[in-house]
This record gives sequence, structure tokens and C-alpha cells, in this order.
Amino acid sequence: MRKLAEVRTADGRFIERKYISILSEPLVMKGSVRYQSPDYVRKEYDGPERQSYEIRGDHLVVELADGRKREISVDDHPALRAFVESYRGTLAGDLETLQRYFELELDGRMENWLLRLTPRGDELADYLSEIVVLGRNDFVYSVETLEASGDRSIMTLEPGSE
Amino acid sequence: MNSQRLAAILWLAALAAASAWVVTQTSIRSDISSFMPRAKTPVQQLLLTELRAGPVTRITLISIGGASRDALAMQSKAIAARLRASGLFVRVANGEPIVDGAEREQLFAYRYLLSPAVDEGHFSAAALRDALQQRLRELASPLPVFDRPSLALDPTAELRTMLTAWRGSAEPRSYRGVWFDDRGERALLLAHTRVAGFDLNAQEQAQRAVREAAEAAGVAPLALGLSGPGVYAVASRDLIRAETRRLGIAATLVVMLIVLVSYRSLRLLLVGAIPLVSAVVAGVLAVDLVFGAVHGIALAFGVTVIGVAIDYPIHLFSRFSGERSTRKSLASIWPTIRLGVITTAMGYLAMTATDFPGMAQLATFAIAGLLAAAACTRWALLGLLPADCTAGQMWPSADWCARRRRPPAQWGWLLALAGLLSVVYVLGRGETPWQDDMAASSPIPASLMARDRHLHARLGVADTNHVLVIEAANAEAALQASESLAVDLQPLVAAGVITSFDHPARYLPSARTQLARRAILPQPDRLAADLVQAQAGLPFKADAFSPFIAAVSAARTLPPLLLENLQDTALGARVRSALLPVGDGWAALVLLAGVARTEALSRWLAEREQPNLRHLDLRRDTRSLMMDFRQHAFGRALWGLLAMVLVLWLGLRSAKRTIAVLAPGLLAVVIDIAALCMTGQLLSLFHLVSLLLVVGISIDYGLFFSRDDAHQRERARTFHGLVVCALSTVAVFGLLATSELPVLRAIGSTVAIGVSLSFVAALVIARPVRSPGTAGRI
Repeated sequence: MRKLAEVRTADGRFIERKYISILSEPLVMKGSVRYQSPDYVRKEYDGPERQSYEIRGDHLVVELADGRKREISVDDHPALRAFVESYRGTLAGDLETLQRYFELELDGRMENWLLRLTPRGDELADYLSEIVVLGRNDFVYSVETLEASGDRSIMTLEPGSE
Repeated sequence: MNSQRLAAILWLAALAAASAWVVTQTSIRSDISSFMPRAKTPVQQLLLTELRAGPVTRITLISIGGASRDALAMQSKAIAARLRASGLFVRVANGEPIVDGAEREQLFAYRYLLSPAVDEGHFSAAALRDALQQRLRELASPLPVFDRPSLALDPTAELRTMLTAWRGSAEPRSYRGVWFDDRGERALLLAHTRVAGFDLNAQEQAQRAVREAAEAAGVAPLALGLSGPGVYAVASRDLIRAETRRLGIAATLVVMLIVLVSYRSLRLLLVGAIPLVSAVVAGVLAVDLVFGAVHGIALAFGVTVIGVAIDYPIHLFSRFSGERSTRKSLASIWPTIRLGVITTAMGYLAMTATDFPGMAQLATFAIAGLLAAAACTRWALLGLLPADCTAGQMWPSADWCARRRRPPAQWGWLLALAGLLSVVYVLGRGETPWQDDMAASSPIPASLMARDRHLHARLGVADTNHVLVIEAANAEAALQASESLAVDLQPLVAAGVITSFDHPARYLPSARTQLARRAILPQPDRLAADLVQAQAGLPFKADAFSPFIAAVSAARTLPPLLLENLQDTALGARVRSALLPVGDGWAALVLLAGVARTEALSRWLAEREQPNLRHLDLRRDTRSLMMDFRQHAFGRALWGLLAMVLVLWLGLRSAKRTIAVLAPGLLAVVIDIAALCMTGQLLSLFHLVSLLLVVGISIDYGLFFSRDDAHQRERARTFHGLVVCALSTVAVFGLLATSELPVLRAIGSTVAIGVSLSFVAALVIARPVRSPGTAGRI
């Protein structure tokens, strides 16, 4: 974790697959993520529905394909909290924040580790069962989210920008 | 024991009993409605019911500040949760979703009958496909929608459509799901109490609950802002209580001081207090017996009676010079006092029969109080004093009083000229000197009223100045009429005549509409077939929406949702606030917001020619109600004046002296009105009552000044009494003029100015008249 805390910026491409019970096949989304120490994350989707989610601190700005913007507080969306804290918190090596929201379980070695996050609060647990983050050294290459409903999403990342 | 002593003891015993009764039994009210006229038509009745107990009176606006936005959002949620659980409020809104729990389940079951989106074609293959594509986009987004868990049951997002439609168009800005003011500095909440705004004890309890909830959420007392009609009503009751106590004590002290300085006798001071106490107790008792309760303002008015009731013992004490027995002193002035008090009571008698309960209370209070004070002076005081009771060294001294010479009679012409100029001034101003705004008769200070108009606007609390009332035989017919009116109002919104409107069918469609929607819900087979078509090429599982097909199918046999089914729900409270039983039928209230062009609205209404539709312009209608009433009250006052003239003439049997006694008061009233107009005051009904008080007091002055006292010494004593009377009356009413309550301020300033003028005018005009019949008696 200490190694991770030294990451200043990280850029990556992602592929996200959502397995949803009423869908016969997973939804697949692609895009890019950018992390900047200490608390900035931007997630941008490719394609015609190109939208971006920019988080700084507790503020989220959603920009839709048509340029409309919406400002939201991360607190209002437990699902968002799960994503923000697991990804950003892990990259930032911010144990304190992570432990505020999750029980942590770290496995493996430096070159291939696994971090299991189980939500602490009811609000988060209503929505989320667990998050598994996989990493190699200071790079996070997979975030798997298991929702309480049984729906699941896996985001795999590789370094580099567009 | 002589009869005087016996009378005194009986009086004191009766006074003690009456006081005990008043203290333990009298209920005090302070709602504004006593100071509203009674309604004559059903629509006026509705108007007044709305003003008194309608949903608008149940609103409590809560604002909290003094912390960071995040902290305020948390506090707002905590306060709202606690207030919702308290059971004191039908609705607590702070921006969070308005329905939850069992109510949400009920509404969810009824979504296909209630959602405004359900129409012909809503379940066509094309429309369903659009809906499913939209749902897919939502699934892909990292921001889940709140109804995601019910996707299989509600793929067309009907519940969301309903909730969105119910949210006001003019909602305040929101942060973390909680309402904030424009600057984002204060979180706003809106709570509707279960009880009406005039139920002050219950309102106070609700406000205490808000304060406790705020404290529990960590809000500093000073950071909490509370407003709303119920809050004002409680605040004004507290203010009336505090002011009555403060001014009552101050007035009593001032009067006691004046009596003490004037007569230098502790005994006279104590005995002189008895008529004052008698007056107040009799006033409260009479009002309570006649009206069943005493309004706080009538109680506060009791303070003014102190200023007048003291006159009777003063006239008596001024004659205690040791030369004659107390009995003879009393006998020499009683006929004058008697005529004065009967005349004044007659003036008020005409006011007791008004349609304005509050005004009738004031008049009743005055009559009972003055009669009691006079009777006490006549029958109870002598028994408490030695037969040769003498005042101490009097002030002003007897010599000073004896040396006073009246100003030349020609000054009367100057006064008459001043009176004439005043009439010309008041009539020549071109604008009415009358205040017909209901707020002016309200005991609530204007500063409180103005404080949160802005907040009201921000929270989308409908501007209730313009209301369309649809009367119908039953609730269903009223809802149907409300629906068709809503359709017809759209062009007015488009034309900018109004900005928006709110009506009960927006929340609860009529059974007819619900049945019509039910009728177009597709058969299961048909829906299944269209769904297959809609799903083609989309990644949904083939049987993903069978729960949806079952739900639509179930809705096809649902009985319509009625008002009765909405007990104790947030939605029910909303509907009930605009759909109410009136007389034998029901009325739907359509609230119009942002009425920009009243004439266009009137024209539109005239063209509709719909007899069961009425437009209430609350400001205009209450104004005309007040105007009617003012004319009525003015007529009453004139009748009162006529009665006074008649009584005076019957008592004096001399036209000349009647004029001499009345003229100072009339001049004083005319100049008083001009003086009030010059200081920018508009006259309210309280001024009218005060002016009647001025006439009453000035008649006393006129009677005493025009007494044909035989001796110089006697004249000096009369003069002494008059000076002390005028001093004490002006002092008491001058004190009232400093009150924070607009009503007391109006009464105080009017009477203080009027009495000063009366004294001067009576001094000049009311000269002794020698008339064979009554000389030396009255």
C-alpha cells in the first residue's frame, strides 16, 4: 500500500463488463481512467454515448454526450462511493479512508496482490456485497464489483492513455 | 355596620370571586380570525376558512445555517427523519424523495392508473423499445437510478414519472439531495402540521418538536430559523402576553404615582386601585361570558380601560378637602359621572353588535369595565374611607387651581378653524384614510410577516393570492372538473398570463381518468407480443419482463384509488389540502402561481361562463370584505354617536350645554384624524374604537368643565380633578403608543393625541351653562 501511495498520476484504458440478471449477455463498455494524487479521478466512456465522470474530493461532475453537466455529491450514491473509494482509495494507498467504508483483506505478494473490500455500513451493504481489487506492484489491473442483487461487474485496466 | 361598609365588603367579596373565576376559568385566544369579519356567502366562508385553518396556515418553514454545506445536509436529513417519526406533521419535505415505505408500495401498485404518461400507444412496441433502450443506457451508467431493483416490474419507469410530475416545477436548489437557499448557505425544510394554524397550543408543541429535533441534530439555537403562520400566531400570542403584562404593570405604576403625587395619601392610593381592578375583572368576565373566550387583544385593551377608569375616583378624591363629608362630595359629582359613563357606554353599545367578533369584544370590555369602575366609585369606595377623609397636600395646589383663568372664549373660533382645516385636509388628500388591508387588523407585527416571503417563493409554496374554486356535488366530480380546467389552463401558461398552477387531480386523478387508463392497458398476450418485438436485438433475456406483464395484467382489475384510500399519507395530505368538503358539496382549489396579467385572467374566466367556477383573489376579496365591514362599523359608530347625543340631551335637558359638552370631543376627533394622516398612518378599525374612546373621555371633560359650580373653591376642585384625569390618561395611552404591537400602538397614539386635544378644547369651549333645571346637579 505504501508503494501505491507514491503514485502521482495514473492513466489507463478500461474495459468494463456488467453481468446483469435480466440481460442475456454482459454489457460491455470501454473508456479511459485517469487518477491524480490525491483525490482526482476521471472516468470517460467511449462511443456515441460518450459521457464522463469527474470526481474531485466528494464532488462528482457528470458530463453527458450533449454537453449538459450535472453536479452531484458522492454521498448521495452508495454505488458511486463504492467505485470511488475502492479505485481511488486503493491507488492513493489511503488506508484510513478505505477502512472507514470497508473491511480490508490483503493477499498475495508485491508483484501480484489481491485486496478484498467488504462494506461496513448498512447503506453501502444494501447495494454492495464486495469488491475485489487485483494489482501488480503499483498498478491496479482489475476491479470486480459484486452487487447485493447478484449483479456483477468487472473492470479490467491496462496502462496508457488513448 | 352601616350600609356603606356593607356595600364595600360585598363589592370586595364579589370582586375576589370574579377575579378567582377569571384567573382559573378564562381561556385566552389569540388567533387572527377573531379580527376577521364574518362571512356572508359560502365563498367568503371558504376564503376565511382557508385563511384561518387552510393548509397554508399549517406550513412551518424551517431553515438552518451556521455550518458547512455538508454538515447542514446531514442535519436537514436528521431533522426531517425525527419530525416524520414524531407524528405531529403530515408532511416534512426537505428535498428527499417524498414517498417511501408502505405508501410507495401502494403507489407502485397503482402506477398504471396514476402515471400521467399512460395513454394510447404508451405500450406499443415502438414506445416499449424506446423505454428499454433508455433503461439499457441507465444500466451502463455508473450512476444507478433509484428504481433499478424494480426494473423487471416497471421497465417504463412509471413510478419515476409520477414522482417527477409531483415534484414542484419551482423547487429550490438542492445539494446532497437536500434543499438549500439560493446562496447555498441555509438548508430549507417545509413541514405541514397535522393541526390547523390557529390551534396555538398544538402549534407550540410542533414548534418545540422542531427545536428539539434541530438541537438533537446539532444545530445551534441561533442557527435555526422558524417561520410560517403558526409560528407567527404563537409568537404574536407570546408578544401580546408580554406586552399586556409589561404595559399593564407600567400603566398601573404611572397611575399610582400620579395619584400618590396628587393626593399624598397612601389610603387613597390603595382605595383608588379598586375601581381599576374592578374594571379589568368585569371586562374580562363580561367578554368571557358573552363570547366564551377572551382574545388576547381584548385583554391588552384592558390596559386602556385603566387609563379611563381612574378618572372616576380622581374626580371624587379631588373633592376630599376636609370641608365636607365624603358622602356629600360623592353626591355632588355622581350625577355628572353617571351621565358621562352612561353616554360612553351607549356609544360602545352600537359596536357590540358588529360582525367582527374581535371588535365586539373590545366594545363589550369597554362597557363592562367603565360601568364597573363607575359603580365601584359610587357604591363601594366610601365604605372603605372615614367619613371625613381628607387628601393630603394636593398637587397641583388648590391655590394654583383657583388662580387658573380660562382662555378667552374667542379661542373657540381658532379651534373651530383648526377643525375645519383638518376636515378640508383629510377630504382633500384624495386618498382614503382607511387601511383595508387585513394585515393591518392582524395582531401580528408586520416585521414577522415580511421576514420570509422570499423563502416561501423559493420553496414553491404556492402563492395563494389567486385561487380558482370549483364547486361540485362530490369529490369525484370536483376532481374531474379540476382535470378539465387543467387542460384549459395550459394556454394561459403558454401565453404568460400565469407561470404555473397546481391542482388536486395532479396528485390524484379522478376515478374516471384512472378507469380510462385502465381500459387502455393491453391484454397480456398482446403486451407479450409487443415486448418480443421491442426486445429484438436488445440484450434483455427473453422472459426478463414477465413480472411486468403480470403487473399490467393485475392493474387491469384494480379499483380506482380514491381519497379515502390515502389516509395518513404524504400524497393524501397534498390532495386534501386542495380538495375539501364545502357545505353540501366539495370544492377543488386550483392555485395559480405568478399571475402576471389579472385582466387577461378575468377575461378568460368571463368567457368560460362556468357557474361553478369562482376566482378568489385573496388580496382583493379580503380587501372588499374589510371595506364592507369598515362601512358597516362606521355606520355603527355614527349610530353610537347619535345615541350619545340623545342620552346627553335627555340627561342635560339643555341643547346649549349638550353642544358645549360634545363639541370639544368632535373637534378633537377631527383634528386627531388629520394628525394621524399627517404622520402617514392609515386608519384601521382599532383607530375607530380609539376615537370612540376619545369622544367618551371628552364628554366627561365637557360635563365637568361645563358644571355650574356655585363656589370658586368648588370650581378649583373640579379643575384639579380634570387636570389629574388628563395627566393620567395621556400618560397611560402614551405608554401604549410605545408598544411593539401595531394594535396597541394605534390605540395609544390615537387616544393620547385625542385626549390632549379634548382637554384643551373642553377648557376653551365647555363653559358653565346656566340652565334652570339641572344647574348645580350634573
